[in-house]
Amino acid sequence: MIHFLLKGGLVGMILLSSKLAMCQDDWKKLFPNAEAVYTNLSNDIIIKQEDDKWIATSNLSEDLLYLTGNSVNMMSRGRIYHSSFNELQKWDAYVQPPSGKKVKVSNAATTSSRQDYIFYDDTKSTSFDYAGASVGATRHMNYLLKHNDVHLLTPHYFERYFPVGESKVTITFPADIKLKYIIKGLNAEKVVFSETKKRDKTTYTFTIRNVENIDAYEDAPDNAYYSTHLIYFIEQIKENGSWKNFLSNPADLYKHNYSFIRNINKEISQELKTITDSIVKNISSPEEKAKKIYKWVQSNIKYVAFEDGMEGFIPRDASLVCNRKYGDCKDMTSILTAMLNYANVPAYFTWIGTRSIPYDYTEVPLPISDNHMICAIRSGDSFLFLDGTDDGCIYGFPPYSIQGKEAMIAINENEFKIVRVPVTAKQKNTYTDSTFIRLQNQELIGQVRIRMTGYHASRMQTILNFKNEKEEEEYLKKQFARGSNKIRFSNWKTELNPDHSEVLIMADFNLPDYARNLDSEIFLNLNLFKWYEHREIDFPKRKAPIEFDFLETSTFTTIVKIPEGYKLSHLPKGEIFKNDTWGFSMKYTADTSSVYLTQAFDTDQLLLKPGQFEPWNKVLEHLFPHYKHTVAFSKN
Amino acid sequence: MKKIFFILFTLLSIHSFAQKGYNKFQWKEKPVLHNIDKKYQDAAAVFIADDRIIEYGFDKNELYIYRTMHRIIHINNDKGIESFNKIYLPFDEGLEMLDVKARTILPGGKIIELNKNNIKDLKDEDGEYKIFALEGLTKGCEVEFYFTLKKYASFFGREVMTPGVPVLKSHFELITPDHLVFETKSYNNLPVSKDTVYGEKRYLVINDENISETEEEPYSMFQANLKRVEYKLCYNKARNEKERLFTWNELAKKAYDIYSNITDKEQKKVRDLLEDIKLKPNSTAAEKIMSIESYLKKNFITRDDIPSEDADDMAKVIKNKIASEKAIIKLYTSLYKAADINYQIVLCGNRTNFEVDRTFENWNNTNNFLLYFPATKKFLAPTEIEYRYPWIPPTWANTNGLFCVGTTIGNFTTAVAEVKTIPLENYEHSFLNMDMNLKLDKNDALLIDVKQSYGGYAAPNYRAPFVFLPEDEQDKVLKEMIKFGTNSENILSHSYENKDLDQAEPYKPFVINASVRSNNLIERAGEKIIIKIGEVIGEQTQMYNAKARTTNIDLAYPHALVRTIKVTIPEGYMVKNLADLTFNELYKEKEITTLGFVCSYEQKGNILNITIKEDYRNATYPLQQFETFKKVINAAADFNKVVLILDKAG
Repeated sequence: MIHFLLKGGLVGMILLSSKLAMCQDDWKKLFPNAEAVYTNLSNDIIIKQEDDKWIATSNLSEDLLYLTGNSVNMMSRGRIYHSSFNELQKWDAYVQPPSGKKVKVSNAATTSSRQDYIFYDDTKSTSFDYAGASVGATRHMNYLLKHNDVHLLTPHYFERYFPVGESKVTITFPADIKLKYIIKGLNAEKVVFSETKKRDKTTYTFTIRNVENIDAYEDAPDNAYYSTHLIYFIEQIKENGSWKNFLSNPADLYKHNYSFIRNINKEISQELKTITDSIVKNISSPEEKAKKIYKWVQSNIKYVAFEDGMEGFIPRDASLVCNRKYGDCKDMTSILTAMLNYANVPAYFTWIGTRSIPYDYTEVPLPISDNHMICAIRSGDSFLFLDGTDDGCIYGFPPYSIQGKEAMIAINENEFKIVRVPVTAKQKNTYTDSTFIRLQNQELIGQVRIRMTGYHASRMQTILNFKNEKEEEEYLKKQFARGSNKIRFSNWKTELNPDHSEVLIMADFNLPDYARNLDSEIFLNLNLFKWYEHREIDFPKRKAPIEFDFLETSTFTTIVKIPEGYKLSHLPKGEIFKNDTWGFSMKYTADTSSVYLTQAFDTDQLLLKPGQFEPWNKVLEHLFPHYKHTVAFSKN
Repeated sequence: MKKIFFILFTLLSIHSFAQKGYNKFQWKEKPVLHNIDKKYQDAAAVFIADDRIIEYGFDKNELYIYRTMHRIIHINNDKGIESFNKIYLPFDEGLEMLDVKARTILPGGKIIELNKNNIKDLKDEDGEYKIFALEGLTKGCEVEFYFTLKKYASFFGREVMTPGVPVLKSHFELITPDHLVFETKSYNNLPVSKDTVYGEKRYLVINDENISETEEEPYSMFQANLKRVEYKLCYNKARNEKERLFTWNELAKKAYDIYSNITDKEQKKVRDLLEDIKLKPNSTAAEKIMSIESYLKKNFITRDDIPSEDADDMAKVIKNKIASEKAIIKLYTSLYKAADINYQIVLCGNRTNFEVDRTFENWNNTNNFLLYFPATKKFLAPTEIEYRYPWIPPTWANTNGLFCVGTTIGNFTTAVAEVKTIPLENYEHSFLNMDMNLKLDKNDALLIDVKQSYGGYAAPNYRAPFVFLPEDEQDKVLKEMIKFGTNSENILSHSYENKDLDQAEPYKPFVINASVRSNNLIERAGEKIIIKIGEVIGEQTQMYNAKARTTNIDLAYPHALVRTIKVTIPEGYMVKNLADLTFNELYKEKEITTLGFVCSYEQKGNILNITIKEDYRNATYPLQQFETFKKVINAAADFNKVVLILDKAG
């Protein structure tokens, strides 16, 4: 929902004087592998009163020195993000060639820069071409943003895609403001802080020098988890001689947030009442009512997000959402709470940050700590969380994207609770894959049976719900392939539990050219898939953590019938290996009729930190040799 | 080509005869839900009606196009809801959105009409849209909308009639003032249009029904095979009933004027630029062609979406080094002229979607631009940064090109059109070869020396990442490429040959050499060693008989693959199943190989040499040869599963 954040790490600037002139070769020495260097990044923030209203401005500037022809091509277009909360007031950009006059940018255009999942909002990007760029030239950009709502000051990121020479932020504020700051990220300790005072104005200065870029990875969490950044916010404002809280603690944030829901759902329509009545007819248990209402919202209200300006914060009335049959997370929460409350199940608007935001309200009591809204209901002494945007979600399971995060529950105007959403135990998210095979001539013939629970099941249901029979078969064929691409499946059967908590998928298959016959022997590798092949972590180079969607337990079993007229002549040895990070068990057994391979994996990590990369790889070192072992049968 | 049209339509004086505006589309006052045939009930949604009405009409004596699209969509399931509750109406080149109406018809009969205030304007990097969300959607409901977009008149157009859902009735209507005679051409089994004149208007109408959802087939040009109609203005009876308009000859002349003429002032700048390029004295025509191309592609950034006039202004372009496509083409032609290199401008389409049709002059199908050099009989693609003479995007070739052949009449230089095939380079020059040397190492690893060679049309795509990506990204690409065939990311050493896009000898391949240690190609069964030899050619497509094939086989370019694999058999071992290496799927037409997968081997001492030749010598094969084609494709997939079983000798 709340989209006021500008896209990650856009903020930066120049320092014009007091700088030893460094030439291209000096930068190359400092950052030998760099294709380009941000020689200067600066952001001069001023917090001030304008027409009786507190606002802030950021004067950002950056200089990027091109060191390779490649960087000239890659970085030929500049871009400034802005929105109605962060208004672009002026900008200037040019290329300074190694010698000669500046070349102005050309072909500027302003377009929408909304995220894919949002249908409409007011985020924009202004982009332009750096004309006349070449190796040794510097591209310069500076621009002024006006922040119209000082609740929404966005963090400053010090690092970039290329190394940074100097990155500096100043924040200047008057004596009637109390400002707090927090520095986070891998290079947080390298940021140097200083404070100066001029008359009644204080200036905080934060500087970092000569930092390498941090490589991005697809499986890494949001860069807020590791990039070095400065969070700053107004704690208190002096009004008429006395200090008043602004955003100093979660209670202040709650007060601010509550203003968005104060006037929502004062009345609900007859239509919504009728629908609710028909859903909970003859049901007395609050839990059953909640289940039914949640299910109705999941299946009938589709996710469409209009988040223009304040639409990003204020939920729409439940009756309107009911008519439209669509809404964003706030609208879904609005209709859920309205229906539940009408059915006498107390339900509450709840703000939460998804796992893409690494902050707790208690540490960072700011609107930037949340980006989502859900509905909370009581369940004994604790709360259950219902997310209307996730149509595959199992009742009682929080969506996996909010596990472990703090929720801010709106009990009433004066009361709120902060409750941490539990992390769903790995035993609840199981994946059990069994393959039964027999040999017929050169071919393997068999069945697969895959049982999923928890998040595995709900995710699979969401995927299958959107496929027709033919598409489903195509998908299953790819998803559950094993052995080689010669496998042919038939007779797919899927059993989906209506509450999304369990999925069972079965099929028959033929797999030619997988078993190897030679003279009087048959060789068969029971590792029909090698899940972790090539999953070593690039250690020690990688600095960014790895994020997993949820904790899980997975088991893969292959059972092969000993072919008639043959006996088992070689059975590989298994292994159990575990360390503090994770582990596996690989077990071969045999009886008179069959041979069994069972592989099991589990993790206790939602976030794998760099310190755990080496032990992670250690497990793989133990695992990989097992992938090569083959069972052998020989003729009696 | 858009630029040409803008110039054109002001030149063409078409006077109005009092017709005004356009026929407003009317939907049914009281819509009713439709019953859907069983066979369509599994589709997410079905188009009950898909109407396109293109009307040429006058407004204040100016001619405009009024394009109306009307659809009634029956929604069957959640996927249908999610696909059609958000509507994006393209507004590119639009002047005004005249009528937008949309409504939802619910199973109970309730109708929810779209509130106009909820239509938003959206401009993103892909273009401009009017967007809105439709309210109240449930399974079994119907969504109906129409809009009329007013645009500047272009005298060419096309409508692709097969979208991704089944269509019960599709309707196309081209309405023009009677004196403007348009023609249509239907492609891919769309019925031909019927022509009627009614009052002062001329109607070209196509009706089609029960069009099932089109599925994408492998090795096929999906877009090109969709049902579509193209249309163009052919005669203006108000001027001359006999003179055919917008011929290929006329386009050749326009293109020549636009791309070959520069001012004297510009000419001077061009000559200065040619000085900077420093052509070597006595260089051959080909060398000159390549030097100029290389200079422009290295030093200028070309973009097709540049709106500003700066990018068309030659003096500014030479200074700023950022050019529109039009400007860069002018820069090429004027540099070649200044360097005394004879060239022809060639306009072409693309085999993947729309091509130049000799008999139907739709200028919109000439979106791509080539230069042809009669001296060397080769082509160059000025706007394509990763291609170098004589290599051009292969789907621009093996199709018609409009060659603008220069001719001089007195003092006047112009061009005439020749529509002919742009030939592809011979198949032998395009290859993806691999040479591999495999030796067993300790711990059941294989040491593999691999040489991957990419020649001809195959080379640009493989070279590009090693030219345009930052170094760490290049490493990732290298790993992926080496993993294909070695199943290992453990690269001990590597080197490149002919890595630059600019090569003095353009037929030489891009080569990657690497030494790799692979732990994933050997299996053990007791004493026996299993070498997964088939995996060294990388995973290969396996084709099944899922559904009867409907389209020809189309490849981007003809090519050949040669792989040689040398295996050192460890001392004391012998290969027990050499015969498994023999493959012979070879197809000839008139004694000449067109297609094949052949594998042979030879063992000398403890060295086993395997040679695989895989050929696709044509760019296209007719539908009747599909089974043969599939056999060759599947032979490669079969080889990929072959293992060598090594046992103690004796």
